[in-house]
Amino acid sequence: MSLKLFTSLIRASLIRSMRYRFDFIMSLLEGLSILLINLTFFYTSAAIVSSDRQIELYLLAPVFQIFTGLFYGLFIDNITGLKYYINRGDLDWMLLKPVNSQFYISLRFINFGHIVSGLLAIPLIIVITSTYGIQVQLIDWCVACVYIAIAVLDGYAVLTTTTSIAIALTSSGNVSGIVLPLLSVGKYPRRIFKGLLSSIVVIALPCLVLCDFAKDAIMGSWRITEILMHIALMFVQIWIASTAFRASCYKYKSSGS
Amino acid sequence: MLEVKNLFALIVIRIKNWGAYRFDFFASILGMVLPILGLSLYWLDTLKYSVVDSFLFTPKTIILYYIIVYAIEMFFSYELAFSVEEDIETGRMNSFLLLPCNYLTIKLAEFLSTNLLPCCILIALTIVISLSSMISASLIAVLVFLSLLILGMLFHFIYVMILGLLTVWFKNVNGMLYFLQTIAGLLAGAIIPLSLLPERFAWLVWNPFSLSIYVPSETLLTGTINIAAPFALALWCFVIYALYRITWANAMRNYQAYGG
Repeated sequence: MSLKLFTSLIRASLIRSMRYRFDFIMSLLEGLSILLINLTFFYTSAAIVSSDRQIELYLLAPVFQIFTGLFYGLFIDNITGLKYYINRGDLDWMLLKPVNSQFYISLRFINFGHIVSGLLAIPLIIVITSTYGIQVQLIDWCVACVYIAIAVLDGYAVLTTTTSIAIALTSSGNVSGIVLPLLSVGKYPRRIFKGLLSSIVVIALPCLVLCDFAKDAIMGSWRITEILMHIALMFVQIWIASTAFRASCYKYKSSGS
Repeated sequence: MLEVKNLFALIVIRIKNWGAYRFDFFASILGMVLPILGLSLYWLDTLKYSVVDSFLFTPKTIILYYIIVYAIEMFFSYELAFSVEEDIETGRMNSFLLLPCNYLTIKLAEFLSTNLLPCCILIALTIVISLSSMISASLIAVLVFLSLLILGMLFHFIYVMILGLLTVWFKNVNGMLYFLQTIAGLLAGAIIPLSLLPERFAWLVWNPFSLSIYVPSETLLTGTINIAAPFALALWCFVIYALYRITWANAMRNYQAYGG
């Protein structure tokens, strides 16, 4: 049922992208501009560090771009719109639909411009790895993909939880202005978090370090225990997000015009 | 005189609106603090392992640089463009056009009132930084900094008005706004200080975004006075205003008032 609905939502989003081609191109350019900025940032700042650190900075930018592309493509036009659904009273009919409300609200619109801009970073990773002579095995690619998928779902969980809590407590729900800059911190190497901060980030906001883990996987450095730990943390975060969403729906009072 | 009176009346209404949406304001402040935190952690780590001795920035100055840049960037929000877009999309523009007040004045009031609090924050920040002897800027440097800031605000106001008016042709300018915002951030030195770029990109410092953000930050931080910068920015303001007049005239010819 959910798969069928998801397919329909993808089809509707594709039709919308074709109808509003200018918006699609602009989303694509926006995504690519994020890549351009990250590449400029890392290439410029890498000039002052040793060569082994340079390679990891070069790789981190496209890996983060894939995460950003998928996360923005799947969720940015959805959960962030929740506050508008409440203000306009649209949430009423969404809750009445015979489908999982969270699923419907989370995946209603898919932004293909961002997804394409994310996928365009894959050739860049191949170019960087071949330039620096890094041999990437198939299993390393798979592990990197798993890490990126976990990062996307973790990011979704953080956005949904905070939006739901903000709606329940403040009637505003405008937390995307906090969560999106927070997620952008995930483009830095995880070694910037030190001591207690490192532990807090790994447990509470793992999406901030998962791109770095994915980059390490591409470089052939990964451990099965770490993957399992992050999968477990992801399920906990998704459960929290689901609980927070349900709680905010219970607090919701139809007031739209 | 009437325009000034209208302007102040509109500013008072906007301030009241701000009071009603406190959470959104604090969320926007927090949204600016987080990237600074990330950048600071990154540079503290990077500079620890720096292999280039002649690197211009120290951990203290680079963190200060980002704090000043982000404080200035608070003025340069694109909210106004979204507001103009909404006016056109929903047909609210009709009622504004019927008012005995210029549309530009109405939007200027909106822009100024939105920027009152960021302005207070920036002033407080400048005083704290100056008093704590983190920087030693001369009076001339502070004056150049302020003139660039005011001209930068003026430039940005007209620039986002033009972007908002593009809705008349493109219907939905959200994607374009985010794209331009990202590019402007790069050109303004908000992502990386422009002095870090290779020498062949030195001319980039004369773009209006850099003159509004990077140059004033550098002036305050290092005390380096580029006396030509305010004049160059003033010239950019004239150019953008001329462009605005052309865009407004064409937009009104094409505006179909079908919203609502």
